Amino acid sequence: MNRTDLESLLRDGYAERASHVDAASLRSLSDPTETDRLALTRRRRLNWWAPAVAAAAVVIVAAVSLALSTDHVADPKPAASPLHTALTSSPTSVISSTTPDTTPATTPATTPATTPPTTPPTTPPRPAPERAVSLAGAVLTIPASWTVTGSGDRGTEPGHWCLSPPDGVQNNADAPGRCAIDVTSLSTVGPLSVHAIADAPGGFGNADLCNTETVTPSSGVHQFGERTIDGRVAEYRLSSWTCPSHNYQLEQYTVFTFPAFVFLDELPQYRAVFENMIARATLPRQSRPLALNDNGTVTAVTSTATGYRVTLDRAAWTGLTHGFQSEHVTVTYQIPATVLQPQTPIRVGAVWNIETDGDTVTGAYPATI
Amino acid sequence: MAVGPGRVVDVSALFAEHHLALVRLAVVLVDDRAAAEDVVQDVFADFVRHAGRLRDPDAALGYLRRSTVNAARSVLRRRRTERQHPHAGDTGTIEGADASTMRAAERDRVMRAVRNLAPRDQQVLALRYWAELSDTEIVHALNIAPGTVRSTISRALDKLERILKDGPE
Repeated sequence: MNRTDLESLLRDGYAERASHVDAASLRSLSDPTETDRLALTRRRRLNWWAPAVAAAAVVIVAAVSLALSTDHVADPKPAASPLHTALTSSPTSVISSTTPDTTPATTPATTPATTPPTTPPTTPPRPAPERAVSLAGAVLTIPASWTVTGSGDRGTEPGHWCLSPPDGVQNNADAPGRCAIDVTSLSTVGPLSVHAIADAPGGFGNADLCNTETVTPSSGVHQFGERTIDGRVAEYRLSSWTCPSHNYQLEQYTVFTFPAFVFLDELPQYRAVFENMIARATLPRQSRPLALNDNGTVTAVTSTATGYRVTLDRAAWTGLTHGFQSEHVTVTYQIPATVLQPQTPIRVGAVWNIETDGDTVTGAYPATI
Repeated sequence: MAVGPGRVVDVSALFAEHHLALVRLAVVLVDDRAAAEDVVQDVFADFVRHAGRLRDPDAALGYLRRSTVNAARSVLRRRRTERQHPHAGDTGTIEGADASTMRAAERDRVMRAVRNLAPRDQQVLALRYWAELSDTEIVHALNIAPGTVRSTISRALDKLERILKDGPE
């Protein structure tokens, strides 16, 4: 079968598959403007009962965990006692030191009850209770009150987790269902690992940010380079996206060797939690030597007995800023001649995409990034 | 009807005009009619909530198409994982396949092989060979790098040929 035959059979196959669907055979649906997920068919609800139970269990566990953590660390009178103590023991010095513009130093120490300050108490903030969660072998520290589940689609898939604060993700008007922090185990996803990593700049990092095709988000990638998480190398990128009605700042770490992970934070208000999680994460040990996917500009090519030794200056496709590099990272791959197309020689200066199974290069392709 | 900032999107009209085509697109992507209908129903349900942010009503179809592709990708991801523990009795047959002719048999063999491709490869092939989208439209639908559409298609066809020759990896 030649390529033309294959293409023809594909067209026939898709047409045949689609031909089984006609308007009369579709199940009746309500007007979409009145449609809600809760109005889905009974069959579909049944499909989701297990995740729903699991999500409920997670919420219960989180609530219990929060209660236990709070009991453990909280002051017996956490809300009233610090404020009361501050006002009655040394009101002038405490209040004036933190609120000089709104609370004069001359505020009588004897009248706190009739002139309550509108400023917060000055006792140092207690660290929020935390808990550790294990996701595909990665142990991550997050606030105890956060849930590990899916408020969006990705969070309900195997290998994908949605980490969210108890009151839901802020900025929800712009990003309904969006996770505060998105964790993906590419190894759990399994055979998709290579493609998921190839998607990482696009599928995870730049996806649908403005929610309309006709609006081109203006972007600026501030940093692109390598970092380490628990001693393992991770690709790092930080970028900002400006849409007509809202902005995003994405921070993404991709641990691209097995076992592979993507950690993504799209909303700056959760950045502190995200960075704390990254800094304290423990990951499974690396089990294979090579990145599952890589892109870069070829800087050197040498022939070997079995193929080519190719050095790349790693680069990212970021949607608008093609081939962005802010921190040059050089990587070298041994590419078997058997995976190369004869008519596509590797030349210095060209951009190439490398696919591996973690141990050897399984594909190498010229790319436009 | 959803009202955006100064613009109006008639969701009911969009539904009437494009629902069938989007279900067909989902069917060729996920190869499961019920799942395809679920996908498109979810897409429209989400669209109703988000349409107020859509600045250009003319972009609605593109948005719906992209949402359908993304939702179908999620179905494929879940299914890919499930395939690591295949159900007994899953023969991989295509519903309604006409095996009475050699070409139909060959066509069905190709479509079964397609199911062994990665979701991204399946998407790009479906968008090109069923939806007949242009390179630019595929870039928008899949949010992939401009210039990689043809190489992605070529790569997917290479993999498909290998599967047809040697069997699934």
